[in-house]
Amino acid sequence: MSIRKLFAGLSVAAVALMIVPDAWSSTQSVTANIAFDTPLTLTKTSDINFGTVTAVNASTYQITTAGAVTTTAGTGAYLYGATTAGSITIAGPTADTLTISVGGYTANNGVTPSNASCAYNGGAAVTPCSYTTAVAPGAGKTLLLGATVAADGTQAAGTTAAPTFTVTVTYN
Amino acid sequence: MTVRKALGKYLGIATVAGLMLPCFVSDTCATTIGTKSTIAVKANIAFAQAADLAKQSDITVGVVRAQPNDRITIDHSGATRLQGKGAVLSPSGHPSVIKIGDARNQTLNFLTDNYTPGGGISALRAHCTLKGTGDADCDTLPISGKKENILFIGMDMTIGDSLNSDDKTSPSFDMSIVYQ
Repeated sequence: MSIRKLFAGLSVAAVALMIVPDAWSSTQSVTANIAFDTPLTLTKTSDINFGTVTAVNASTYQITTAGAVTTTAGTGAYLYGATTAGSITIAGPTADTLTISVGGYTANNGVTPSNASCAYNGGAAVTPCSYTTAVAPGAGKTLLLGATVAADGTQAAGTTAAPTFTVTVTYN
Repeated sequence: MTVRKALGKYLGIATVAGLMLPCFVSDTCATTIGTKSTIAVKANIAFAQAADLAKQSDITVGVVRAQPNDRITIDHSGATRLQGKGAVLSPSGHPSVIKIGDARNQTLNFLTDNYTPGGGISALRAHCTLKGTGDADCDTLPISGKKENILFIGMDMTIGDSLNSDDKTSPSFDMSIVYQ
């Protein structure tokens, strides 16, 4: 066989290989489904402020979600200064209810926090702070916070303390 | 590394840093993982020395013959003066005296409240001075405290329209001392 005839045969074979019949391919359309929800956000607008109380006095103080301070144990007293409840704005889903809880109580300068109370969306205060099906926050609803703090009497006049606790919000 | 890969690497780092930076500079940030968000709340509290108060005496007005609508003043030295149709028969009265404990490094504010009429007195206004302050009125200005503080309280009063000598009730008010 001449080289010319050989190459001609090869070319025909190559062209034949390049023509793929329809029966050998199949196409499927795949859809990627993805849903978007409004993210949950917490914005703290105010920490709790007890004002100024009696120094060098082991006493326990409570602040309500309305910002009122009282002495619940001991002989110490609220003396002066602005008092404020804590305030957090919760925003997020419009259809999912919320679970709200508190924890992580951490003492500071001999003052130990406990028993946080809260009032969500203008409702009555709940002690301890706990919701299992709070209404969905949508564009934003307010969570007011109160707490109890126990001073061990080691706090000198002119000193301060800033104990903390955490608020956890989960949408159901 | 190609330019495209290098740019992508540093943009990724900058993006993460940008998302984290606000939480580094503010304690108002919440930490969100999935459907849960957590935030810390502070319970701020300050401590100060409580004031030690001891009232030594109430106000005693000198002897007066009062007429309705007369105005009587007893100052912080105890001197009694009268404006009106009545007369002062004995000018020597006595202011109220309150001893205040150690108030060094504190500023004292004096507030009067809960005025209660009595004895034919229709209007009351107390005024005070702290011993050693040169007679500066303490009811209008805060005053720096000292180790020992003696508060003198006088009063302005107006006799009512119908003075009844059988009325033995005494007018009163509250003096609050706020320190900071």
